[in-house]
Amino acid sequence: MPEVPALGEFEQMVLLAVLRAGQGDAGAYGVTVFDALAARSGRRVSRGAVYMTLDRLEQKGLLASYQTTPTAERGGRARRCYRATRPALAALRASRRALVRLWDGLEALD
Amino acid sequence: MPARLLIRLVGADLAESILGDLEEQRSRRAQRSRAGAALWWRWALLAILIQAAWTRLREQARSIRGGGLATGGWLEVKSAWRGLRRAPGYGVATTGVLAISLTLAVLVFAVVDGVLLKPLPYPRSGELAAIQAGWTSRPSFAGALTVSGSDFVAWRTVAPDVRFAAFSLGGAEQIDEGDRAIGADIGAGFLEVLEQRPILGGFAPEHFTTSQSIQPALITYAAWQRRFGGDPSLVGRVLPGDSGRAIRVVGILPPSFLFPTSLGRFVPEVLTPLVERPNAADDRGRGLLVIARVPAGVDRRGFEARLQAATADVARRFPKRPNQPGAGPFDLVRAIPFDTALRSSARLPFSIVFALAAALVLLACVNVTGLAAARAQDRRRELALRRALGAGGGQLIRLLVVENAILIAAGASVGVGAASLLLPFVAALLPPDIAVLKPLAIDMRVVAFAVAAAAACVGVTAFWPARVTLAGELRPVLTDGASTTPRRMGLGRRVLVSLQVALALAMAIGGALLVGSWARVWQQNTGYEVGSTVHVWMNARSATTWTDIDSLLNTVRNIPGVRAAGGSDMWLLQRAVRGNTFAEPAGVKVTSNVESFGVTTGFLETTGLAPVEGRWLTHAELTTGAPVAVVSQRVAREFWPGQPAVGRVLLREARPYDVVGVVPDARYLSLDLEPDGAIYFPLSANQQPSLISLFVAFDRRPSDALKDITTAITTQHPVFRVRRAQPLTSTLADSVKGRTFQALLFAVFGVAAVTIAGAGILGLAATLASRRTREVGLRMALGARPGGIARLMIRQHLAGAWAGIAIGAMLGAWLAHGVGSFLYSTSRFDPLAWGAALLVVMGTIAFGALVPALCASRVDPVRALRVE
Repeated sequence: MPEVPALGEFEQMVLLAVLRAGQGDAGAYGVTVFDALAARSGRRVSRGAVYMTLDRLEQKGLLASYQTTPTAERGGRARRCYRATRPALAALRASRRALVRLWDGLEALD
Repeated sequence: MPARLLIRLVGADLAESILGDLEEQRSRRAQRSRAGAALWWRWALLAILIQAAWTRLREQARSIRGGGLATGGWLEVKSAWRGLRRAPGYGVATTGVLAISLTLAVLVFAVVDGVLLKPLPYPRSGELAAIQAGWTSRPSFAGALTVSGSDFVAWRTVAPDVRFAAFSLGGAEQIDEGDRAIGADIGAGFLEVLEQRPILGGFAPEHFTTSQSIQPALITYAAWQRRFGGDPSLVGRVLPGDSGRAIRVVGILPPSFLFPTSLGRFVPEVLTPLVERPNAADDRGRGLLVIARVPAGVDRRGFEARLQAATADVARRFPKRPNQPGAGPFDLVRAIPFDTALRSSARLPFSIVFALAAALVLLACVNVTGLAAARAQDRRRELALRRALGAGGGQLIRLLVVENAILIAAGASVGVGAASLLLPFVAALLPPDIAVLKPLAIDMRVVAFAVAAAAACVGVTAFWPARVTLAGELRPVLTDGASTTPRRMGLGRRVLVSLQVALALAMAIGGALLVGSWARVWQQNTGYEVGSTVHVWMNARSATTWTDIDSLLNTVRNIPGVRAAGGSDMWLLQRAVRGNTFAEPAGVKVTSNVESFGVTTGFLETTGLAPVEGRWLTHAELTTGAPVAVVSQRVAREFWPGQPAVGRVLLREARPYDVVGVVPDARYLSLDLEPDGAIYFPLSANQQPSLISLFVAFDRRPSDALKDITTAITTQHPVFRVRRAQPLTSTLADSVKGRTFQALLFAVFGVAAVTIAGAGILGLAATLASRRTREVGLRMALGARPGGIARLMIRQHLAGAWAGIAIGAMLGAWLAHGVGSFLYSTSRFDPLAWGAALLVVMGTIAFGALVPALCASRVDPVRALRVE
């Protein structure tokens, strides 16, 4: 069984934002991922950190990307859309399970 | 460019998608506010760049540590960072001082690089020459003029071994919904001379021989990207154009193309063909700018002589040019290397400004050195402890250098970021006669300069703190407490204070002189009314008649709120001499330049030129072209010294004109140039009258009606083209834009220098005062009064400042000598400017010394003696 990669807190948030933004019509790309994070994370998010994390997750094989058709609105440039890979889903599930186990019995603090 | 930097940091693929995302959001935000969207875009890109740079730096550091290299270096970075976090005030002050100076230095370098350093972006640019014509009697005006089509044709004929090209700056072309772009007309061979080829399409030969109902046009790459999103289907599309004449896009220019008279923000984006005229040999009415590619083998002097002979021949064949006095005849032709032609006027001022920027960075370095040395002094106990624990002297110095390097890097980053935000404003302030040979942007060259300047700062500021750290043995600091810490200002600190004061005073003097000179320019009387008048700079698409002009004037007069409208063939406030078509009286030696202006009805009402003798031209005379003229006081004095001018006769093309009045002198060349002599006659007397300057006086605020005037002219009188319509105050301001830019720049430098010096002196004084707490407490316990303590400390602190003021005065005199040629009616030793500069600098020094001294004098002796 392949080893599940460990995820940092921000990486988890970005992966979840990719999954959420991917459900929309526009797909998950820089703008929608940032919007999803800003709307749901409840904290200030750096645009640059989002792009750097997306790039790092792709290099780790946790995200795959594809390009759309260039449009005039984007100055003749294409969108780079992301989707989560199987290892990413496995890593997210593992993180969630670990957190749930750690929270077990501490619900009163919630 | 930031985009290129981003590509370097994150790779081309990711950079493209990030830039696309930003562009997408910018275009959405632009629907609410264009300016806001542009600002947001810059901030967002800057934030991403900083984040990307930080990420890459961390990765590099990780890889270095992973490889087992320079572990000690990384530890020093961490240690220095921890040290700085314990002294946030010092970090903020140092970073702030460096950020101010580096912002200005980066801004200045970005402009200087484009104006002076960047090579011309044309292949074998050394072969290119600007061909300029003028008069031997007024050599300073050679180059300020356009030449006639006849001269251009004659030059092409006598120099077939040289490739010539002509062009002219046109009006504004509408290429987008509600958006206008600057246009230019280019002649056949223009792109070939510059060795540029469109990346898409191009002009066909017939475009230069036959006038087309829909004008073909080339669009610059930047306009294509910015306004049309790089849409390749633009080629072939028809756009609104100007004055009811549409344009068809026939090609796209390459990204590297730069228009050869790239006049600051007036960069042409739409190029239309300059159609050859069938009777080109007699094409006297057209004003052209000419460039040539002179092959290396052609003798330049011989080439100039051939052109001069051809121009002399044109002057012989067409000696009189009643309709276009400024088109010649010329007797001086020069082939000026293109590099010189574009840059000569800018070399001295920009060199001085660059030197000032370097001096400001030096001032900041001196300042930071003083603060860093004081901090090193205060940290002697900590440093002694480190040494006792086994750290070597080299390691301690490295720690201080790394600490400074972190602050300088932060200052440089803030400087580059702030400069990128301020650069568009600086570009808008650049005088239009300054040729900028690259888009003004924070590109790799500018970033490299910032890095080099920051590295120089690290080098300069490292020396003194290191000396302080290693001076003497550190061990006694641990054994004897802080008693070894010097409490008086030593020689080194006095030198630092003197240097700061000297540099600040010199720059303040420079700023005060330029600002004072600028203020004097604006005190000059133009001689005509300015307040509620609009100036419209016009040209015509083809030959015009008096009926066309009269009809246009009537249209404009019917616009609501218009009090009067009149016009002339003068090139108002363009610094352009056009000449005089009237013969000077025989036997009179005229020393002033005299200009003759054809004027229309309404000219008197809009300009308010009240006659001082005789009368103005009547409505009937102005509409029928009667042979009557009005002269200015200067002409009256020079033509008929000591005698009345009214009743005299002047000859124009062998036709006698009666002088019926004398009016005051007026400044038509520029606000900062003395008035020339002027002769006014009815414009309708010309067979082909041309209207160039239209004056419209309003009962209300003129800026509200600019659109009404432009719309009325372009829709009802398509034969005319509006080049620019603006309040007359703006035209006046444009004529001295160079002075405004200089004054603003020097003022900013002066203020920044005084601020930096003030902050440095305040910091030093505060450090010294805090060290003397125990001494002050003892003095007060022995009966000293707070006033006496404050006076003592101020006196001791100012000891270093007097030498600085003396050196600063000498530096100021040297700087005043350098900027002397930019001053208007202002002496280099203007007492007002020098006094103001001295007052501000001394006030700043006194404030810097006074605040810590007052704080020290309020010390409670009991508490002070308990300290340490």
